Amino acid sequence: MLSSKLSKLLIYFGTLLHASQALAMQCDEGQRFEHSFASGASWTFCAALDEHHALELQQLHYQAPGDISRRVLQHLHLGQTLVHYHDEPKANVLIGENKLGGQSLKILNDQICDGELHNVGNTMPTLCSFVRDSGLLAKYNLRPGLHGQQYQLFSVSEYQGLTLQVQIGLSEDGRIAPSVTLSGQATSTTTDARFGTALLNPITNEPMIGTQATVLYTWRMAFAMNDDEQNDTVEEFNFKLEPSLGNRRPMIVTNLTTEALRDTNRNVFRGWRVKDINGSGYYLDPLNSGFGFSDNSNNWAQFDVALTAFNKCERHSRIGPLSSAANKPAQCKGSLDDFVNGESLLNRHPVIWYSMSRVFRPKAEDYPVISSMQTEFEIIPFDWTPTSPFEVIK
Amino acid sequence: MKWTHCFVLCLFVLLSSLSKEAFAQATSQCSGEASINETFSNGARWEMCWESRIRENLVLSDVHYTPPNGIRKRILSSARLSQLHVAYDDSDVTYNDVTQYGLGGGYRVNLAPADCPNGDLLYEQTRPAICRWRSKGQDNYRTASRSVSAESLTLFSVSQVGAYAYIVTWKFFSDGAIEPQIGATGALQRSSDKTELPFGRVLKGDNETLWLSHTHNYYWRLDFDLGLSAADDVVTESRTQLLQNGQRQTKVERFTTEQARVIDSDSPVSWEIWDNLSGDTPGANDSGYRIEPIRYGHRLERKEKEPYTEFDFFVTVANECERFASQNARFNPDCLNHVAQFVNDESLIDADISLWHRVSFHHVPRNEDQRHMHTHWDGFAIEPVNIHKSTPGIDLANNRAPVLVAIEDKLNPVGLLIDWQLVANDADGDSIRYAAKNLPDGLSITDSGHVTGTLTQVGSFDVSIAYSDEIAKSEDTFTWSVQEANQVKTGKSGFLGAAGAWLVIIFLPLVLLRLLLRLCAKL
Repeated sequence: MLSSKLSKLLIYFGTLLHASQALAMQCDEGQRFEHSFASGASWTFCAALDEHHALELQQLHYQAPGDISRRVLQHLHLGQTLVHYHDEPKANVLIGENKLGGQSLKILNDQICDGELHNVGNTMPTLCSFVRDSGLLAKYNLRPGLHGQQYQLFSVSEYQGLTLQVQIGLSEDGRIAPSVTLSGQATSTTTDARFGTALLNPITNEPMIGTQATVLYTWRMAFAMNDDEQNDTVEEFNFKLEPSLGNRRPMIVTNLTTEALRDTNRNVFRGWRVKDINGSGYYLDPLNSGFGFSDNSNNWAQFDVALTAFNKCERHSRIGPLSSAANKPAQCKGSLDDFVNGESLLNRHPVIWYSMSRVFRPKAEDYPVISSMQTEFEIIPFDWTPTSPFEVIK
Repeated sequence: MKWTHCFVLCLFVLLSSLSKEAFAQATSQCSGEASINETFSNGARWEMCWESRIRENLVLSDVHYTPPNGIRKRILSSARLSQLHVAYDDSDVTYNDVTQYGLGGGYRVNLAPADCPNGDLLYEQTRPAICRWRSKGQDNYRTASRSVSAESLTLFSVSQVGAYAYIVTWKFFSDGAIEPQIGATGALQRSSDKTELPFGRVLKGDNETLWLSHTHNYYWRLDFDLGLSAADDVVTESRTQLLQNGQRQTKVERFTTEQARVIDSDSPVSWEIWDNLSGDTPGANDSGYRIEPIRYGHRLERKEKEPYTEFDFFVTVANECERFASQNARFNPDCLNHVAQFVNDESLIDADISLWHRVSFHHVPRNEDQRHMHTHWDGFAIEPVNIHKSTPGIDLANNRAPVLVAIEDKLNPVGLLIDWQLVANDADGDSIRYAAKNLPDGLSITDSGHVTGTLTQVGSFDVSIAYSDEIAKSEDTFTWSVQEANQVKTGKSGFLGAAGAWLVIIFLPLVLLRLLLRLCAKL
């Protein structure tokens, strides 16, 4: 009885401590945001617009209904974007050799932003936040369906006529959904049909071949769950079919203790979990992935996932002259190939770099403006709460 | 000519002049509650029929799309989920929910208004069967200064099969795109009391139960009938591969016989279905739909036991007898049993074609799944290809191009500091973007048309200014001469010098003549 009361007291003080941490959160960069849903779920974070990679969330805290506010991520932002026009030998590097922030950020207005505009360190609005309905969050038989919402933030960057909407969705149920939406103007044409698509210019009606392009987005997720204690760990899940065991699929969970470059494997449903010392965590299930991005100039780009120990200057998967200048060039060189150098992940904040690629195949609908092509993934709470936090909701 | 002959002839001409599309528009295979007709604010329209079948639940048929300011086009003769295959990790026992239980009939949940708070309930007889929900979707397109969100029509029905509730969903967008989706919610189904086994997870609060991991394999069947004829559609596959020199080549293969295809992680793939083809391979005048597999991170394959699990995509000749992706013979005893068997080398030429696509999701139980799971969504995208002549939502015909305020040729000295704002006017009030070619050395231009810098190089530069409202693009040229500082002055004085030369040429002979005359007079 006494121990029960004591543990309740400890939980109470722990709750107060964490809640006070979230309330007291100061932003080193950017602006503090907080959004609460009607269910009681809420997100608290700092949003900044970085000169190189545009939108970045820092100190991202999630509070499930009935739970305390707890930090999930210390940093979440694009770590690189490669755009490879198929008739060229090399990909264009958008972060490092170019910039998605600074002058590349577009000024937003009410017509673009169906929500709230924010300046965040700029004199003009360059960040938009809005809430959208995300459909049925849960439904069971005749119980009334529970509808969910998602709070979204985005900035828009421009590169050679292309627009990249860098967006992060924060769902009521704790899901975090980063995405990039490609649109803007497709200006590249080719004379070789192997690298493009035959089209009619909608303005001149003349034949042309629109150049196909493969785009790679790499996201950097620096985890720091709960507090600054460096005790988060990373696990890899594999579920390999074993014909010798009667087509069973044993779950193999491996602790990853050193930096590594990893591939998704759709046949074994490979996924990764980062968890804190109490077993609460988030899971990266690479459902929207599978096509590799081989590249003669970027060895690291062939890997879907990289795990590194947190290093302040390793912000971009390939550090170019522009981004290195901002990051003390003596310390910050190279690419993920160099960052993954056998360092231990133990007692360090783990960083997951996750890459996805899409192929842009031009069509009439992409002229004069590309029909939006969104590339999104999710990390989801995995044992973050002991049960569904929505059970009490009617 | 008798008037009756004239009348018949006129009637014939009139009927002939009506397009077959327009004639098709008059036909509909359903009415009342079974008919859906949704017109979006951009003028695009979707029309279709729906029914709830005992096995598949929601089946859509006679699906037509009308682009903004375009002609109504038949897209699908039918679309449905053709199997919901579930395999648990602890055994080789699988469930085929569509054929073993069915998603319709008693398994279909009567929806309540709370299930459909933003839409309308549609009834099948007296039962509320589906929710029809109109909403704003993701951005249709975006430029630096404008964006348009595609609206969407969402139709969903809920089936309770065991503990699981499946939300069978179809989304139709105002830009012509279609997204079949299925949401899995409800509660975890199977468990074991052998908690030491590695086939699932023990969840918080119940140390005596192992909840089993499992895979959902969703199979959709799409019977495309693009345009007027059901028998002239063509299917192609586009695969992209990296070449040794770093370029990426896309090969397009036209399928002439039935196919079973696998997604290969080394070569991004998409499949297209065309409303006939004007040549051997797709060209600029061909239109159709593209299936891009965007959710391919999981793949269940157990080909020894279930051969159809080896493949992700199938192309077959449409056959009413081939209805379910697996366990088909259970309800069609005279037919083959699964979709891999349906692929038996039949010719696709002049045939009505069905496409089948599989998406897998492996579910690892987590604490959040108890007692009721949050929905996990799976699906894929079907996007229009050349169905529109240009980006839907942009009115090219009525867009007015910007006009640049005229620029005269310039002459400036080297070293001069330039700070010059280009000005163009746009009657539609669109934002204007600028670019320049061959600016004198030392100058640069922003996309808002601000030219700055210091002239550093002598020369004559034929400058081209491109300006655009992101739809219409125009170009003006002028000559910018940069001369040595003293030459610019000299230029003026040069002009005077030239005049002086002319004065010399004209007056010197006169002076000389006068001097000569004076000399003669003295003599």
